[in-house]
Amino acid sequence: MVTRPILVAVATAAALAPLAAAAHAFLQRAEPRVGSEVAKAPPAIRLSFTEDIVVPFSRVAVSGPPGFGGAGLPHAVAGDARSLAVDLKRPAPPGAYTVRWRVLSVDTHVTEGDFSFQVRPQAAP
Amino acid sequence: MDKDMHSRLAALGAVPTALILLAASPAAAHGIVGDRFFPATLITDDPAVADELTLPQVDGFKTADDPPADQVDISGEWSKRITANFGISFDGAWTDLKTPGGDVSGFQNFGTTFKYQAITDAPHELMVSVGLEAEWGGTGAEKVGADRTSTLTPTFYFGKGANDLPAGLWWARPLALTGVIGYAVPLAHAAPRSLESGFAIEYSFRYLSAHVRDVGLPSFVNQLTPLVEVQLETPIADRQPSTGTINPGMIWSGNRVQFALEAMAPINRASGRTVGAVFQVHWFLDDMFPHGIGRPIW
Repeated sequence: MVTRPILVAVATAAALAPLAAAAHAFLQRAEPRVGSEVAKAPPAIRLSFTEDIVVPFSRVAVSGPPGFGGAGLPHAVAGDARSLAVDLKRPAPPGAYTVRWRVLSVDTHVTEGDFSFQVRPQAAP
Repeated sequence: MDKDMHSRLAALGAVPTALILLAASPAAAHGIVGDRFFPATLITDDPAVADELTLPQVDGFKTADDPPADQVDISGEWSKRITANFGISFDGAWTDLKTPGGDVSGFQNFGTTFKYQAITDAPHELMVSVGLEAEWGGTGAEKVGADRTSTLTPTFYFGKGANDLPAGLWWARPLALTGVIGYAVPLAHAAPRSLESGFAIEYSFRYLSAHVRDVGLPSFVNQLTPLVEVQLETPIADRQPSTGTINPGMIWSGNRVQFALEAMAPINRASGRTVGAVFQVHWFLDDMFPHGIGRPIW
């Protein structure tokens, strides 16, 4: 008796699946990794999201320790519509870096977030 | 005009729209506040006003009756934003009861919830909403326990992420607490009033990997949220004990749909006889139809 209503509900739900469009873009991976400690500052930070993003309308701000040269504008990553990158200007001294991002996914949803990573002090020669 | 020119003009036309979108508050709908995403919970309502659809939710358990009956409920809920912060939900449930005296089935009373998302504080990952839940008496079948009396329940909803914890407790920052408390007032003088409360403690692996520390978990695991929900109903006037369930489980959140499974453990004999289970499929209509039914009317 209970089987038929369950089947009807599941069938209705299954019918919805093909209607899915794009969605909110959540951060999937970052390089350097979120919360990581790296030996030296990378030339660029790469952010990969769960959905395709519109890079020209996305922002990334990077703050670092005193003396940090700042970050460039976000730019697309060739062949990867879900990623963007920002170049780090020199100098990029050891210390804590914070990345604040705000992206527009292709379905017009805006999401934002932040994370940090550390650049280790260089060992004395 | 050549095709290239058309594309360029179309792109230029999109610029003001995109700039407006970027200036707007991010990620309205869903349960997103700042870095935090509150997934839709199964037993207690989350604080977000959203365009979402729960279909189906199926639960099964043994009732507290003596002798107990096997109860299965199949329910659904459609939530629609009227404005960015105000929404209405419509819910219904079909119940099948297997009793020693035979099987009965039918609809429970239908319900409507009006909810206003009053506070969305991104830096503190805090979301607060107020609402009014209405159960329409007489719309369901009495043989499955549907009341003939309508009930109004003014309700307070909240959600708070643990991002304020000190750096030494980084591993606990993915924790979040959501909860509800409502005062149920039946629209009949003799009917007893009750306090309807509940909360959910959640741990978001997505939050851990995207905002705290990427420990290299697989993508599938990053989309999981283990949680424990607790639901209580406390009679106000008489000395009857509270009834409720403790529900440990797991939510998997995709980009457009989430799946969730929880056990339902009764807190006492008056709440049930055995551990039951509840399963839910939940659709994010704002992601599926961002330019249509998934956006606020105004």
